[in-house]
Amino acid sequence: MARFLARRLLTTLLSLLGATLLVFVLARIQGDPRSIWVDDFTLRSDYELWGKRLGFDKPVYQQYGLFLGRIARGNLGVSLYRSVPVRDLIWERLPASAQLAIAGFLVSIVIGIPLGVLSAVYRGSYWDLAGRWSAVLGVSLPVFWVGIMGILLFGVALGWLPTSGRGNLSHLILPAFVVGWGASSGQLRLTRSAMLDVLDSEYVKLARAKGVSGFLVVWKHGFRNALIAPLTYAGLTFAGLITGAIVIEAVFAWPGIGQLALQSVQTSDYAIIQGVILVVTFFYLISSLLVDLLYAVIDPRIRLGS
Amino acid sequence: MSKRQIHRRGILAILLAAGALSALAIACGGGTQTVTEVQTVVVEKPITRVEKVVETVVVEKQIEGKTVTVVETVVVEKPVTRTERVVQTVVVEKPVTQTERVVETVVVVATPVPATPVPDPRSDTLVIAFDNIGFPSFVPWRSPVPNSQFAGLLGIQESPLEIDESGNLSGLLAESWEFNADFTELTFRIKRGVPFHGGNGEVTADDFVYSWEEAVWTEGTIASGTGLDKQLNSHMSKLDDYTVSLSADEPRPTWLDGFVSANTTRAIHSKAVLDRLGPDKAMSAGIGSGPYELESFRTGDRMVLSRVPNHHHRDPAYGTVIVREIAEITTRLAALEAGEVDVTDVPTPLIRDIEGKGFDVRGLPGAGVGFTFYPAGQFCWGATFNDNPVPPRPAYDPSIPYIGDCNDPSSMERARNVRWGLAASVDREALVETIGAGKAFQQHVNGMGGAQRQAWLSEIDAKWTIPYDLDVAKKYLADGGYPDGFEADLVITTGHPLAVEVGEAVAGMWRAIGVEMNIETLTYQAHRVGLVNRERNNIWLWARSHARDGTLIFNRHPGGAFNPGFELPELITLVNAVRGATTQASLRSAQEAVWDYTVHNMISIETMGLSVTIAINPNKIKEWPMGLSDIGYPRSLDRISRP
Repeated sequence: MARFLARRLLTTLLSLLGATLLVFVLARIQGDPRSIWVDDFTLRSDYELWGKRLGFDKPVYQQYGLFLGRIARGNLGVSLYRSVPVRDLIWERLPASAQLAIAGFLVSIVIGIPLGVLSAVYRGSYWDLAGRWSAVLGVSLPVFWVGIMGILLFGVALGWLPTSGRGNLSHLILPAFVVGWGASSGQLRLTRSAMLDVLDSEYVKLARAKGVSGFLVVWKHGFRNALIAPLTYAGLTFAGLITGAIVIEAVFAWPGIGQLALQSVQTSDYAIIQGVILVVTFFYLISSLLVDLLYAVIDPRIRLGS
Repeated sequence: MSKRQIHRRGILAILLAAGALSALAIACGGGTQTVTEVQTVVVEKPITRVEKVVETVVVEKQIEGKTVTVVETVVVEKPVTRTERVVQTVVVEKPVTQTERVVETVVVVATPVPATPVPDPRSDTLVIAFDNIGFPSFVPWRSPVPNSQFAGLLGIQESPLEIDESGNLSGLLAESWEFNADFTELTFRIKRGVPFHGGNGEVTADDFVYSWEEAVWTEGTIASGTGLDKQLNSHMSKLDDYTVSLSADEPRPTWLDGFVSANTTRAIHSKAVLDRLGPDKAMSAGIGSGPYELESFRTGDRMVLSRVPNHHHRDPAYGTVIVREIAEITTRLAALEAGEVDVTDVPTPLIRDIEGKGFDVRGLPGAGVGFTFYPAGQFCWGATFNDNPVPPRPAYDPSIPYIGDCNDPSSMERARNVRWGLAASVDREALVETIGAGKAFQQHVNGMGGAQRQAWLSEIDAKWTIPYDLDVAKKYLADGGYPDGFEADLVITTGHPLAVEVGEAVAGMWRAIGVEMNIETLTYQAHRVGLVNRERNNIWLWARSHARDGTLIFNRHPGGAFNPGFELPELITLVNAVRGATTQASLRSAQEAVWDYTVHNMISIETMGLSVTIAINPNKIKEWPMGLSDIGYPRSLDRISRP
């Protein structure tokens, strides 16, 4: 277990290092961020002075070295736009993103797993049909379209829910459902196929032959053994929901880090873009690590490090 | 269960229902009104009925020939009056605390009373939705490009002057002002007793001087609009506690335009607050002297403003203004329709639809967008600028059809003809009717939209209108040496939702004269890098906001960082003449010379212009005479009047 943890932490650190290089290069591909800020009367001399302050007069490898040094000290840099630490900006937006991600995750689990199990147990029934349709629509309908339709139906036509913004619980329902529905599709399909495999196995047949109740066969013998694939997916889904709901945050005016990233791209504030991507990577890596650790808890046949 | 019990429970149910409705009404707030209401009540009243009654009577009868008196019991029918408890439907007038539910289900005939002692929680709040509220960056010299334009537009911070819908200036923090004879010095006399928010003292000459000197002269600042003041060595000095003087090396007759509240590089900040809080805290505190005070700012979400009581200039109609950030236009309009938002922008193609839903749609005076095609690469500056060698101009390539050899007049004329050929083949009317949904206007002159366009309409009609004529366009191309057309690159920069449509439509029009465009769509910021480095020599489309003074944007020379693709010494001379004009007549004449030059040389190809339009909930706003500004956001909140 200790060896496994050490190895995973090392790969996590290496992945983070790779991410910093990628982020650094990508942020600069867009070009010199100063060029977006200068107006018709900006003097060339001020433009160059500003560049010097940002370290643009140094060779690129030196800029990267300085960037790494700052990250090692927990400093994600300073926003070009606002001259405040990027860390503060991300920290300010993270609760909103986390709230939406948790709610969306719960929706995806509540929809995806029971429907997946029902689809498998009652294969070919209306449950199965409903589950598969839900999965197909959830995957194929663009989230921004579903979001806008939801707003027009529940916010404008029926007036049941607020159209946008972050406030009380009612503000959360629509975006969480839209985010969660898309994520539930994969969950549903994975759960269904894993359950079908398990329900067809010999030990399940034996359990049935021994007269174990249907409920126990499905949920104890079947579901627990089918959980590995959905769990892996759920872990990555959660990390993705925290950081990947950019479109949904824009549609629902949800003040999370996705929206912050989008605005930073539009304003070429590369310091924020770098910070957001690094935080995203961090979440992904940590989620992946936690899922690996959970494998051993769920399936005793898996022995970490062996 | 006996009848009595049933009866009691019925009464109890009625009372409970009434109580619940009352509680609901109280909980929801609302005003008190007198309403006529149909009620079911239990009352005691005398009721007379005809009943069969058993009565003992004394009668005389004949029995065996004798008359005898006997007592008998008989049943008779007779009216009987009793006091009973009855259930009755009555019509009563009573005061109720009104909620929407009560109005819909209970009120039969309502007689509203105008005075509403219990205020509707939203009645004193106005909600405006912007696509982006930016960051709380209210000290312009602290960040490269401040977001603090909202501070002036929304009335948090104030400038010396304010401007009305027609462009007339009046005093705001300045009581009066005057230029010296040659327009190189401007003196402001400051209004006395104007307090900064939060008890932070009053506005004085020290604050004026501090705000100007920091905004313009903080080392390395590129705060918007300050570059020209640096070029002209502009400094402000204190004459006494309430008088300041501003000087420049050259005349600045149009200086005053820069001192209106919409331009917050000239907003007046409290020196004492900045000294006390430090610039970082002051930046987000947003302390000013305007009619609205910043209550809170949640980035990505909203800012909340509250009315400053007894403001020195004007008392706003709404006590609270919430400015929400909703990035997506569909969501902004949905929020408007749902009643969550009272004001938001509306794209031109949707104006008719929104008007059809009962909202007022109006343009923001002076704010708009023009779709301009720049044939980039005509860099004709000499070898030096301010005694320094001019940096390389890699985009300058006279072999490209629309770029002339700066040292060869015939080559320059040839390129000019090519550019005119492109301009004459644009069907502006079709663009206005289709993409602009009939709500746009034809644009012929660079930098001329909004108020400028209105002021110059007669000249546009007389000499600057570029007719759509394919034969003429082909002749221009032939004169330019390309009778069969040519192939070129077109970059459409994104940023405006209609940019791609306009770019592709115009490229289609150019195909009709044999000019084939290789279209590339790029983000504006990605394209801008090449412009700053003078590396672009393609034709590029920019959906550019209208400028308040459209002629000054031709200030294109090697000393400027940004350049859309041309440096022409003759043009700079003409622009300098605009800056140096000392009378309205000479100013107009100088501006006309700039536009004569740019149209004659077809520096850019203009197509269509749009005003920035907003949709307003008519139940919240009656009049809103906004000040003139080229910034595309609602402003002058203190001028709103309620219905």
